[in-house]
Amino acid sequence: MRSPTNRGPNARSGVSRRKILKALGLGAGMSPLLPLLNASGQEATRPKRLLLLFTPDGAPAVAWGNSVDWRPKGTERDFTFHTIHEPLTPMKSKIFVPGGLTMSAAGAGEAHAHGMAGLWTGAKLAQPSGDANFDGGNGARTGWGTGPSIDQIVAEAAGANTPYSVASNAANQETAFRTVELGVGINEATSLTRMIYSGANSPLHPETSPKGAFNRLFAGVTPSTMDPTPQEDPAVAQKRVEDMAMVDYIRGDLGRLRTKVGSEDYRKIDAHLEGLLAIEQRLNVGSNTSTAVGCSLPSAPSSTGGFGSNFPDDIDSMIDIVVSALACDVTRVMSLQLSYGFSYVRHEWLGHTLEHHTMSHRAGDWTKELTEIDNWYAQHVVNLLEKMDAIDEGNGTLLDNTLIVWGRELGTTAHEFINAPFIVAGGGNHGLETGRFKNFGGTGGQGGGAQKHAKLLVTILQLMGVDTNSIGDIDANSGPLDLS
Amino acid sequence: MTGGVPLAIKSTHSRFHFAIACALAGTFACSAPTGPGGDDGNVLGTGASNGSPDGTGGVVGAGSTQGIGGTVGVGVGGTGSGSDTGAGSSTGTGGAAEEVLGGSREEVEAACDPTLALDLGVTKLRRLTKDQLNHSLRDLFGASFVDYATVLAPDESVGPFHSNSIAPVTDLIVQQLSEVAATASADAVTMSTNFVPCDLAADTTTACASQFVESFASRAFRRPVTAEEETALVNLYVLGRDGTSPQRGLDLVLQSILQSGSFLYLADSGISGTPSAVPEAVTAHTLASRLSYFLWNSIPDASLKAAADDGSLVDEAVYSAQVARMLLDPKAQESISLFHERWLDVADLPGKEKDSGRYPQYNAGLAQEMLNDQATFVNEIILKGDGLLSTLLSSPTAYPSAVLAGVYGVAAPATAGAAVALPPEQRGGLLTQPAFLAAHARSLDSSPVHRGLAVRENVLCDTIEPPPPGVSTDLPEKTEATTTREQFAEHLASITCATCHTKMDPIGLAFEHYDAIGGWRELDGTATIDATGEVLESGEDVSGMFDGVMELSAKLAQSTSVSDCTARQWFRFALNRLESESDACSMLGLFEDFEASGGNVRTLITQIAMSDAFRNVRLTGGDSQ
Repeated sequence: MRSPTNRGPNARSGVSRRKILKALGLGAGMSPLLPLLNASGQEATRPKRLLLLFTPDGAPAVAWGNSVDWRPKGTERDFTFHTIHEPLTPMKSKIFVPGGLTMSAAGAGEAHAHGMAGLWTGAKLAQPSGDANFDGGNGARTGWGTGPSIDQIVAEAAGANTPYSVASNAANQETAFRTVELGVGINEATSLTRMIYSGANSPLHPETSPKGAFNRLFAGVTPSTMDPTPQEDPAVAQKRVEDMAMVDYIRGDLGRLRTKVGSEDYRKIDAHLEGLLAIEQRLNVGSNTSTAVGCSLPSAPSSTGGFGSNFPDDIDSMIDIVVSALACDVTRVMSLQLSYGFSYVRHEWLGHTLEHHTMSHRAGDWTKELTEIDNWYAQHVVNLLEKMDAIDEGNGTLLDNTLIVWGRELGTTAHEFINAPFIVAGGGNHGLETGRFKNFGGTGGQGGGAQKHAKLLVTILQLMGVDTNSIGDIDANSGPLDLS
Repeated sequence: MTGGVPLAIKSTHSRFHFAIACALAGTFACSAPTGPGGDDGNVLGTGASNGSPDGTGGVVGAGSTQGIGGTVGVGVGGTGSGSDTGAGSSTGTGGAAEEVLGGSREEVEAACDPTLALDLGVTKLRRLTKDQLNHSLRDLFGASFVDYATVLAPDESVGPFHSNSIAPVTDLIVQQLSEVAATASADAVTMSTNFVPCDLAADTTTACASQFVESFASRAFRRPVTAEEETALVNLYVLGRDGTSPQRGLDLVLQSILQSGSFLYLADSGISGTPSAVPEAVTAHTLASRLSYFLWNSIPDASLKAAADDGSLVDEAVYSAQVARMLLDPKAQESISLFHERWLDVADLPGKEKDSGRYPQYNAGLAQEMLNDQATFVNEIILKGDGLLSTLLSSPTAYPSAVLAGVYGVAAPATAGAAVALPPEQRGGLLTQPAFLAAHARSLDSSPVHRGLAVRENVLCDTIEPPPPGVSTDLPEKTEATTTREQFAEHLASITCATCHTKMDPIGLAFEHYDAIGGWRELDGTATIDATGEVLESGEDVSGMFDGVMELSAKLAQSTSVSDCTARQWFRFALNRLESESDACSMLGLFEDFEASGGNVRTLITQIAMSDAFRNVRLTGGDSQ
């Protein structure tokens, strides 16, 4: 859940957190009672946040070369959404529509698979190897993605213009979680089900249990409607001392185990030690009580996700969790993945008897059903936006302080990457002009002369304060979109 | 499943999308580039193979063995090249990796030089699977089963079986493991008399804590506890006791042990105590741990632990007696049913959806009953019956619930799960059970591709080349007037598709009498079913025409390829790893022993436990980082 150091192409080169791990030794130097920074309460302006949203498959297509053109109608600043996005209309003034982009996606497997890998990384999907060998659709094998996703890059950055001001390996973090990855309706870890990468071959698994996410994220969070405890309860302080001692013991045990295993296995122990460090950092943050003005908690969900869980209900729960996690400053960088590439969700609540992906390739015109699905997801997106916009943070709303990017693994359901239906929302305080549609699709009809979505990713990185002109290897050095 | 979500995304699942495009195979699967760290060509064993016959000497023999295996990137860099199933690349592309042992009996014979000392593939550190974690917690606490591991991210697979031996944990998994430990510990504290041998709360010294730590941690770690560990754990107890309460002290110790690497990872040790690049005997404690996780998927019990503690387990007679005793224990049934669930790739069935219009009786509960039917069936034959593979592939017996009896088309047994005789012209053996048939079918219809593929890959240990990306994958629409056989005919009409699909579809079409949940049908739409099939491009003893699954199963039951594949799959299950070329002689021995036993699976399990491969270990490929 918490991002490790951005590891670059070779996972073994990611050492900065490991260095700090060694520097900490057995943790003897770590006082659990260090003065802790409560970023929320002390900062004059609200922190920047980033949220990546995923829903599956592309805009409805009848066949290859025959898809709906979902781009808004009208002018750049006075436009009407296409039917698939119609539910977004009430929030139009806080939405930016980058129309017509062609996805920077390539590599192994079918389009669904390398669309997933490229969506937030702009990097190719690797060929299969012994360590990573997945069905990327119809038996076409793939490995993992080959680059970090933009949320992880943003979370690794530290500075005045980025969400975090302290480095990710610092002992005292501003939030309990550097990043949080949430998902609904996702099970096995394959290239079709993962979109967030800390680096090459390093997918991050989303938490898919609403109950688990709630308990983990909001442990120790005091909603702002309650009086923050002026001084920490001695029993809580004692528990932290005990928990720290436990982490020390486990660290020692792993260190002893490391001497007994073959050198090929060192990286497993090292990864485990990094996970322990993340726990330790959270224990340090734990004495923060949120004084964020808009911090309130949803009711605790009982669903644990997984088999037999209710997809619509779980989505509602996760959206509430996202809003509260951002409002309470539990994290500043999140992703929420609804379903996965090659989605087999059957939208029974829409009266559908066939799965999303099955309909997308079935003979005949399934535009009506596919549009219903897109509308249904758009309704959830607008719910999220409205909830975030209802939280006043003084200098604007939570939505104004959060940049949200909604992406999908395909441009069209016919496995095309053209005219990818991206929606950007919020981010008004990041310098993004919203209430606007801009076409990047060129003049050659759908896909002709279009700009690549790597530019959108670079734009997001720049809006989040990361100084770069490039993402991934498919359209490296693309620069940003021209938003003039 | 009501209003539910189809969550299963197993790799085979997406083949449900009419997998047809398959091109001229042979180049695609071999084209994987060498990954980072793939510059180490040490693929064929180690110093143990000194004096290799081709005179190249030393440790590298890549490419000297024909037609065997792809490479498995188990190397230090985290990536290698090739395929995890030994797909037909005969030119190892390097990588700090071992060749998977592939090919026919003859090829395995060719790869084994019996004049050399014992060689083995590398055994890696394995994090407990979810099943192993749950069973271990149950036995540690002396409690009933609780699915604590349900919150964990999914397990990895090695071959068809779960084994977390490849990818490192992520921060999320470490956090989830801490939550599992906290939840399990909270439960355990309420039943501490099950496993704490003295009265902790009444003891103002640390005597009882020491006693408890020694007994509990040695069971959890599957080895003796060192003085250093004992001191550290007792200190944790004192910290919690004096700072909070004795219960908290106990909770701290439990949580610490349950989050320890020593508990969470299966870390095999050789008798030298140092990771060795040549095979050596495992320690008595590693032997006990290997055996208990093989046969029970859990920690050793008191008897096995005692034999490890006093060292007697390495004695042939003592060890053999333990194997026999443990197979009689009910816990062995769980391992045997787990093997078959994974072997036939049916474990995820409860997460799969079926068309609710056509199969209104189908839900996750019925799917679970299908798995229970299969589990009882295999345990009855292997542990109580004749134990023969041929019986597993032919017996017309079911153990259904009332609803499942309806799927079988027979009267419900008086007690759910009791034995029922099935019509022998319709049913016989594992491949005619709803568990297999429903798991390898689409939501609405049968799927010749998936059923054929499962027979091919899981039962025959063949590898089907994947289709290349970027090809059209739509089949003609199936209507009432067309049969599935006609729908899939396009595969065989196109030379592009036929290259691979001749291996799958003609086998899978023999299953056309069974619908998407395994019910028997006489008609497909309005047409009479043609269940003839053919095994093409396989071993001589299995190739040829047949009519229906019973004939197919009979063919498979007498096949050396199937016998060898079964032995291979049990080896993978027992050792939590794929077989490598270094295991060629071990595999050959198993093949021959299994055949000599008449294909007795119960004997095979014992033979694996008694084998040199099981009682020795090689912990490193020899390179270092």
